[in-house]
Amino acid sequence: MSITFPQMGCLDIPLKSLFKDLKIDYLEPPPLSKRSLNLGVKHAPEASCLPFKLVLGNFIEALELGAEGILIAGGNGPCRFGHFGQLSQKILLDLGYDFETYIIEPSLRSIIGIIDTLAVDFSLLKLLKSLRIAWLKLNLIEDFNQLSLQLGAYLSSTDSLALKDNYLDLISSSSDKKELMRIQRTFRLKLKKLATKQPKGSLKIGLVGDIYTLLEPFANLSIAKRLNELGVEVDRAIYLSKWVKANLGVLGTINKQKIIKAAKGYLQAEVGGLGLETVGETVLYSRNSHYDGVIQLAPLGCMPEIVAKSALTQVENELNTPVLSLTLDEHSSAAGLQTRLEAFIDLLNRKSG
Amino acid sequence: MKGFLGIDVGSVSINIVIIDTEGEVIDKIYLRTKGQPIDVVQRGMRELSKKVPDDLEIAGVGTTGSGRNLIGVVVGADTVKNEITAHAVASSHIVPDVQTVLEIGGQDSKITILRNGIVVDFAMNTVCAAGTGSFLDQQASRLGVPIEEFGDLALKSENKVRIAGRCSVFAESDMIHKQQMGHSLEDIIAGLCEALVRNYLNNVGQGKEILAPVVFQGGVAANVGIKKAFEEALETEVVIPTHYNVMGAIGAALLAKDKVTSKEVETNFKGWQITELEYTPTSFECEGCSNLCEVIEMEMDGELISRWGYKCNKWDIV
Repeated sequence: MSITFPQMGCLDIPLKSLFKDLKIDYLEPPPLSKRSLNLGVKHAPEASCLPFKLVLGNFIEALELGAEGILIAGGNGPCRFGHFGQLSQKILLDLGYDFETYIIEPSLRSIIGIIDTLAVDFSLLKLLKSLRIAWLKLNLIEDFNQLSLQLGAYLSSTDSLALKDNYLDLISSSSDKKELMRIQRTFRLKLKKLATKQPKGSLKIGLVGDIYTLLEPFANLSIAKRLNELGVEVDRAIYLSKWVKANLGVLGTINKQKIIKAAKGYLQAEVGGLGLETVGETVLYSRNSHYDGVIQLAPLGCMPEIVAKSALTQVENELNTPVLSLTLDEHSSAAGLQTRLEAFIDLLNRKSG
Repeated sequence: MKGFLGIDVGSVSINIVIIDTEGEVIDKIYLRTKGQPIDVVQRGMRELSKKVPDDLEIAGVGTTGSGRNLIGVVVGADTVKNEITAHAVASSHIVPDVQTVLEIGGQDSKITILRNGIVVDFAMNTVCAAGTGSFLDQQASRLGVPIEEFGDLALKSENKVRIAGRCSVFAESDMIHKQQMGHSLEDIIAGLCEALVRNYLNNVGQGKEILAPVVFQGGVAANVGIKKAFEEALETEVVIPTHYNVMGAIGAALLAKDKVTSKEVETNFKGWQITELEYTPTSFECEGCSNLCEVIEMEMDGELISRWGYKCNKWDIV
């Protein structure tokens, strides 16, 4: 049985690595496009958020191509995301598709159970080994993304895109730890060499907000690339690997404490999703003198980000760092986004200059 | 004599101004876009060129508005700037100590907060156009009132009714309902003005510190009913600049003047003869991937000069 999963940023590469190593039959969904969006908008509840519409549309595309099962993470309701699996299942069954649903959520036993069902020959040892490689790949890809956002202002996008594609191909095809590390080192150097102008005096902006919207360029109209092209260094507060680290184990608790402490005085409690992280990370950026401003991304109707937004007004006033809140939806036009970004950059330039 | 040209290509109107070296408006023209930005700009420039003094030399051109890139290519702009910045530049030029700019145009509304002449915050309607000029236009024609008289009627109201202003569709049904109940036109229009201002302040103005002097500009500033509703809601006087409906164009001209003067460069202006050239935009759907981008090409007298609308680098002109 071939299972499928929703596209989200670069998640497909570590997932495919895991599936291959565990001999799980899978069908990769097409990259997100207008078609995925149209399908999602057509079949999702009108008031559901953009991420859900994209996930649903992408599932439909994969089922059309012959996928027989859908796999998605769940959880105890961090936000609506916790119900994406169940909601998709219900809608897709109503549409007449025949498939199995696998929702990855605690307990650990149920997760191992799902993998045991899907994998051809399963052993715990094998699972651990494949997980380690997939995790490494995720980290290496996100590390490279981080560097390219930082250097993006000094790169030609044609060159860096070609380099990135090449890098992703190599990371996808290797499964040896040493080799992967070597690829990373080489490509980091190559990327740095491509940066022609010396990084000096350009604006630096931190990106915060909803995780899906931040991770998926199709959902955020490639905001990071736009900022880079406007000559801005970008730092994204949220990476999937970083988020997993902050939410698992002892080390996670320590990382998370930093955010909770930073948000104190503005937001005291978890409000679902990444609301607390948005506030905490904005405070951290504001206290860091290297950053000129912060941009918050939220899908329309995202409750956690709406709560965070009201707290951000106070952060903005007290810490004197401009924050631009952007709401994204299927109706968002790239021209409107570009106008706001350009005006925000003018504002930051005049303020710092 | 030197002059600077500013062109604001908005969704509903195209405004062209010429300012002198002091930043004073020499001439201005306000035209409806009607979905044909290039033709309208050419027509506007042809009219202007007939009126300007013979010794006027255009020393710089700036464009702004949603069609700024398109028209920037056509006229050879020295600066191509977003309308938020352009509007702020114009208001602080005309009212130097301005702290708040309210701006309502055809399809967008925005608020800009300035302190000591510098923009410190702004917001723009994101996913809803309720309460913008297009909606007022539509309601005026539904009620059979010329848009120019809309605001004056509101001032005649003695007992305004409450209209739900959150969503333009519901505002419309609420207005129809109030008409059926027998309320007078004046009271309904005054209620609508108040509802739009309430919606603007809750939506675009949310969390912003609105301090006087407050400048109100954009096409909707012509509506005295909305001006009065703003003054009541904010409890302060609202200033409407003389050239309220071409402020974006004034800002664009000022930005071009600054650039050309400070950098001491020659203008890229292609000259008045551009009104005689033939610009042909064409579009096609790229089938290179599932994004199916709508690629737009611009030809000037048969020669390809620009291309846009695509996501990757496939169609870059080398």
